[in-house]
Amino acid sequence: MDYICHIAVFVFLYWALAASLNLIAGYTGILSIGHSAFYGVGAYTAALLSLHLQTPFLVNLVCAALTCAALGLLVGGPTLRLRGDDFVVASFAFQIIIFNILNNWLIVTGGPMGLPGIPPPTVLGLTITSRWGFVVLSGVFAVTVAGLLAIVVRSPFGRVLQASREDEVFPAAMGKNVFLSKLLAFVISAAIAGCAGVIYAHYIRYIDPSSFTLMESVFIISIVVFGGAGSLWGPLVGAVVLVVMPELFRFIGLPHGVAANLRQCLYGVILAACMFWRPQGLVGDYSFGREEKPK
Amino acid sequence: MLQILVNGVAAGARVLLVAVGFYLILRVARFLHLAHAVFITAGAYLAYALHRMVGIPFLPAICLSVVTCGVLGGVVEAMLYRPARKTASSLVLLLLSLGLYIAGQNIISLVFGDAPVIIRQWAPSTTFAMGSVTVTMHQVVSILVAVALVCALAVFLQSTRTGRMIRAVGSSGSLARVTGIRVDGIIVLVFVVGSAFAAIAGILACLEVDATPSMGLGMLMLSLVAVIAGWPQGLIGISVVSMVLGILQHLTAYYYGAQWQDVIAFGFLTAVFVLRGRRGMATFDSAAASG
Repeated sequence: MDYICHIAVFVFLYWALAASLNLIAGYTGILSIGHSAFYGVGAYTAALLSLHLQTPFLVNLVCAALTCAALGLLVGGPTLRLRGDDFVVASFAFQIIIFNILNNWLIVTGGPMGLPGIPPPTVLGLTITSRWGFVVLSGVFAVTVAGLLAIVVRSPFGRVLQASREDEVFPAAMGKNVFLSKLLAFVISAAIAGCAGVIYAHYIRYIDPSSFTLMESVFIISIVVFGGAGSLWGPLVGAVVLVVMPELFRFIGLPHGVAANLRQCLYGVILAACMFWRPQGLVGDYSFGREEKPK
Repeated sequence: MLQILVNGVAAGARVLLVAVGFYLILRVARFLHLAHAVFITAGAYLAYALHRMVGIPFLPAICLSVVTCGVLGGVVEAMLYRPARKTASSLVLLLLSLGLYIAGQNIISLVFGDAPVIIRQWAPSTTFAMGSVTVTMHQVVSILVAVALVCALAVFLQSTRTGRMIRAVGSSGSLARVTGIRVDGIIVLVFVVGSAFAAIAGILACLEVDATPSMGLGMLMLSLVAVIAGWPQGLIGISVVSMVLGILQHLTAYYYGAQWQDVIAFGFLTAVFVLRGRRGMATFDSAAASG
């Protein structure tokens, strides 16, 4: 039962991560391969705060969201003016830089050794230690995020984002500030990823940089594109399928190293196959940059 | 100081080899072919397998490896990218190649294991001393091979009929098609050449340091920086930036430690993006819009 709860927590976390990436990648059409960097910064913010200042969980959540939002502003400001492939490369650079800082800034982040001993979270006077508690916590978080994003994409602001995805000039001609809308979407997306990182850190209670690699970002992208970029239910579908499916490998009884490689190989094949046959994903209707090549 | 310069240029030579192939593919096929990294790794591992496991002599083994990688590159283009390109945008192709890269790297891990392998051909002590600077045999070979290949490629692009066709497709696919150039064939050719270059770079790298399944990505990342920073000036720009990057890598390692090399390289790229403003790879964008 603990095992199923553990998987459920990860489904919820990846749902939230994919939903937040979907805001920028799916609805705004800006592909970022640096999402796990924000996830990592959130996790490390929470870990450092609770280890050194013994701050409560909710304070960590707010601080991590603010840190990631500020970082999103700092990174998005200059890079969101870039187009298509240029932005992909810039977000790639951001991912590599953050990973290397986490991995090499020994005094603060502990380097590859990571940060052990993160306390369990206390929410409204309740200390959560059981797996069920975490299922509820991450579930509430994921549903809140998904609900919030559903409201955002239907708001006038969300419509500007989707309009700019299809044609950047049109919303600008309507007097909308496209760049500011994109920046705001990027900041929101970064803040949510940071919050997911906080829950992850308090759940796992030991974090190290290997959880926030480029591969992790690619995994989040895979969830988004597999489920369907720019659709409300896509991230949930993607998270359920891609988190649960590789768990089945555990029952075949492969050696650990082989299983890990095989799992990643499978993600790669899924991503490639998905792009080859169905770029709009399982339940989506948008494929990246479709507007560049009218049929 | 001079020693750092020499080491940097040797490292830059390998970056250049990867970058040139990547640049050609980006120019002609118009997307970031991240799976290029697999061909670097595959080149090294194939050469290792043929030479050390099968026992083929060194030179035939590397030739076979390079040719195989070239053919594989062409096959990937013809079987996967070409059908996808009919409808997909460059971002979809980018994700497709990202998936291929991850699958490819893990297949190599599954076959050879994650432990590093090495094909050392010359003892590391085979060196030439020139005044205060020592140059290893390996560095000489790296630099010579890179310079020779890149010069040959530049001449090929400038003055042969096929080279002119490649440049034509690079500047406008649809216009090239109108003038009767077989665009699909040209793109396959570019993938073959680019992948072979990547394999050579991979082999050169694993002659000196260990080959690991993830080596390709590390080398491709630097080349990516070189291609994007040097983009407006074409091959010359890329060559210069590759050398600068190689030297920057060794300077960083010397003053701050090797672990900060990637941060410096990508910081450099970020600076390029910020300075260049929204233009980015402007020529690439305008070409993509019209093609």
